[in-house]
Order: sequence, then C-alpha cells, then structure tokens
Amino acid sequence: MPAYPPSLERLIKHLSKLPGIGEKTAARLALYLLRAPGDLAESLSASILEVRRNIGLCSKCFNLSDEDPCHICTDMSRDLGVICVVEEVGDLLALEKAGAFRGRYHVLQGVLAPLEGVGPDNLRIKELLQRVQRETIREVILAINPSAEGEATATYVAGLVREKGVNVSQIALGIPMGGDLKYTDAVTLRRALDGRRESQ
Amino acid sequence: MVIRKNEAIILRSRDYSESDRLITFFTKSNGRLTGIAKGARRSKKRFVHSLEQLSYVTIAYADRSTSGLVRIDASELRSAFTGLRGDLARLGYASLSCEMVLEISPERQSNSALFSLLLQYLHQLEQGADPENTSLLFQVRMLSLSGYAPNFQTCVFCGQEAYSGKNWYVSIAEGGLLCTAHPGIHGTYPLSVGTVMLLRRAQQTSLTKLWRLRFDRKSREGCRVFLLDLIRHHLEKDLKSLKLLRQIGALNAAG
Repeated sequence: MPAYPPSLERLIKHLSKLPGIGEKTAARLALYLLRAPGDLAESLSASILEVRRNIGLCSKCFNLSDEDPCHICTDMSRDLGVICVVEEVGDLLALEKAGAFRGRYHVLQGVLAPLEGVGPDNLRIKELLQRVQRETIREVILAINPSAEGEATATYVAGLVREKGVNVSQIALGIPMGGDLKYTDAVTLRRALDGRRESQ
Repeated sequence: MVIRKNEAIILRSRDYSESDRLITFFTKSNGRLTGIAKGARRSKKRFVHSLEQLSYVTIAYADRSTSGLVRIDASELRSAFTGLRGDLARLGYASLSCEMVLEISPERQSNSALFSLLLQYLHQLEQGADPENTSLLFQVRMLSLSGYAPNFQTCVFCGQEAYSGKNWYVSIAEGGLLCTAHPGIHGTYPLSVGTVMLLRRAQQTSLTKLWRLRFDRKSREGCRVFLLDLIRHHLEKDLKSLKLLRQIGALNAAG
C-alpha cells in the first residue's frame, strides 16, 4: 500500500526524474507545492507549459528563444560584425552575464565527439559558415571549452572560417582570477605562458 | 577496500550526476576499469583536468570488490597528448583506438602489452606519424594481443606456407588465409603475398620496430576494409568513432 495518495505519488515520481532531485527531495517539493500559499502551483504549471510551447531555437544563432530571430540577433545596438561561437546555450548565458561581449553569438549545439559518434554534420557548423558568407562579418571569436574535443572542434571550425577570408580568434587560456599557481596543472601553465602579453 | 595506484590511459570520460564524472580507464596492471570521480566537475585541485579522454595519468583508486565501479581518489597527469587536439583526423584515429580497446578488452583483465601498444600508438600519432598507416599497425597488433589474430602463416585449408604463391585471400569466417586452390569461398578479401608478409611482421616484430613498417597505398585500402570488418565481426557492433572519420573524409566510406 503506497504511503501517499496516488496523485501525490505521481507528482513525486515526476519530480524525482529531474536532474539532482532524489525521491526524498521530490517528496519535500511535492508536499510544499501542496501547501504553498497563493497560486504558486498554478503559476508554476502554467510557466512550464508556456516554456514547453513557446521556447525554441533561434534560426540564426541557435540560442534558446521565445521569438525567432532571438532578442540578441535583432538587437541593432550590438556589434554586427563579430560572432562569438560557443558550445552550448549555458556558455552563451555565462558570457552575457559577464557583460564583456557586445557582438552576436552562434551556438554549435555541442562539440565533435568521436566516441559519441558526433561529427561535423551533427553540429551547426554549416549554418555558421553560411552566416559568415551572408553577413558582413569581420571576426569570429571561438569561445569553446578547452577539452580535447573542444580544442579539436575549435581548430576544425577555425580552418573552415579562415577559408572564407574572415579573421578568427580564440579566447585566452590561463590562470583563473584568485587562482593559485601551485595548484594549476602543467598544460594550463604552459598555455598561460604561451599566451602571455605585454604588461599594461 | 584496497587502495591501488596505477598508470592508466583514460578511455572515456562522462558527466555523472551534478558534479561527478564516470571514467573508464585502461590500467597497466589491472586492465580496464570504470570508476566514479566524486566532485571531478567542480574540484580543480584534486584531479586538475587529468580525467579527460586520452590523458595518460597516474591514478589512485579504491577497489572494494572484483567487479563493479571503483572510487577514483586522485589522478596526476603524465601526458595530455595535447598535440592531437589541433588535428581532428589524429584525434579521430586516437579515439578510434580508445574505443577499440574499450570494447575489446575484458574488465579487470591485465594486458600490459596492450597498454604499452596503446601508449606508444598515441605517442606516434602526437609526434606526426602517418595516422592511417599507424592505425593499421595498431589494429593488427591489438587483435594479436587480444587473442583475435587471424592466421597469416599458412592456408587454413591445405596448410600451404604463405611464402609461396602470389595472391592470397583472407577469410573472417575461416579465421585466416586461403590459397587460390580453394575458390568459391564467400566473404574473402584478396591480399598480395607482400601484404601478407607485412601483416605477419606487424603481428610478431618488437613494439619499437612495429612503427617502421609501411603499408603501400594499394595494400592500405584492402587491409583497412578487412581489419575493420574483422573487428566489427568480433564486437558484433559498429564503432562510433568511424562516423566522424568518414564525415571529415579521413576514412573512405567503404571502410
């Protein structure tokens, strides 16, 4: 005999499927939603449905958006000549949060991963090359994570973009702010030294 | 619970739950193992980026049984093979070799010769060796070291020595060479006597001399198709890494 009424049991089961949520946390969330003040449960379920119905990928940059093209692609105050290429939407959000980049983006939707069977045809590389050719782009910045697959992807994309006659640059790699040289791995240290620049 | 420290090559690295990583690694003295590295996605100090695919590391892990997952406690990078990252074809070939070892080597079965082969192969690729030629040599030797070596010595039907005769066939179903006296066998691959000799040397020569062997352009195509079909036959599945190699044109679609 289940401890909770069937409908509550169903909600707990669904919540426990979410990443990072175990059965106990799911039960706590379900019980909270049951007793939550006001219309929290109603507005939460409406938001989930709205997101599922309206959010899609921008047809230009492949960012998540509820309009097509997305608000970044249609923002004329941004630098239209620079595209920053990222792996995932999460990386785009991190860069936007930092506020350091005012151009537009292109989300590859992953990196080349031989062991997962992910090749160039499975990423948005073709679409990037079409954008570079169609729009007046003077620079493509590659902000792809420095993993083995990420670096191979960056090198591959850089070669293809360069063939179109457009400048390609890559974000710097080195010691993070507040980092400690003692704990930094040999590869990062070497790259940090290779990428050193004249002191300001 | 036994704490072990071992040389290893990371074959596969996958995110697991919020902050952990699930790592499959090939050790020098304990064979292939899979373990959880707790907090590896967040901790920058304990694992210092050493658990990426293809990394050659010294790994410390706690092993409590004869099967199942181990707990990875620490890992120190010996080589990241960063030279492979700038060339997608080389990375693809390196990944193909890791996938082959991942699929063909049984869990917890020591094979130090296969470990040395994989390590030397990755070094060769990083140092700029011809990736296709080196990959063929790796595959022939890997099959030998894993107990799947075809018989390249004599005809499996009549015992004729492979020194004589100009043309030979090799059959996956029969497990080795067939001379021209046995026509009509289905699923055979034609090989010249020179290619047969080369394959034989690749099975037997010392590891240091292995990388000096060269497949000529003509024999490469036939050997590649035969070896990949043979591996597919033993694994009973396709290798995922081939998809990328085909897409970038580093491997003929027939492979």
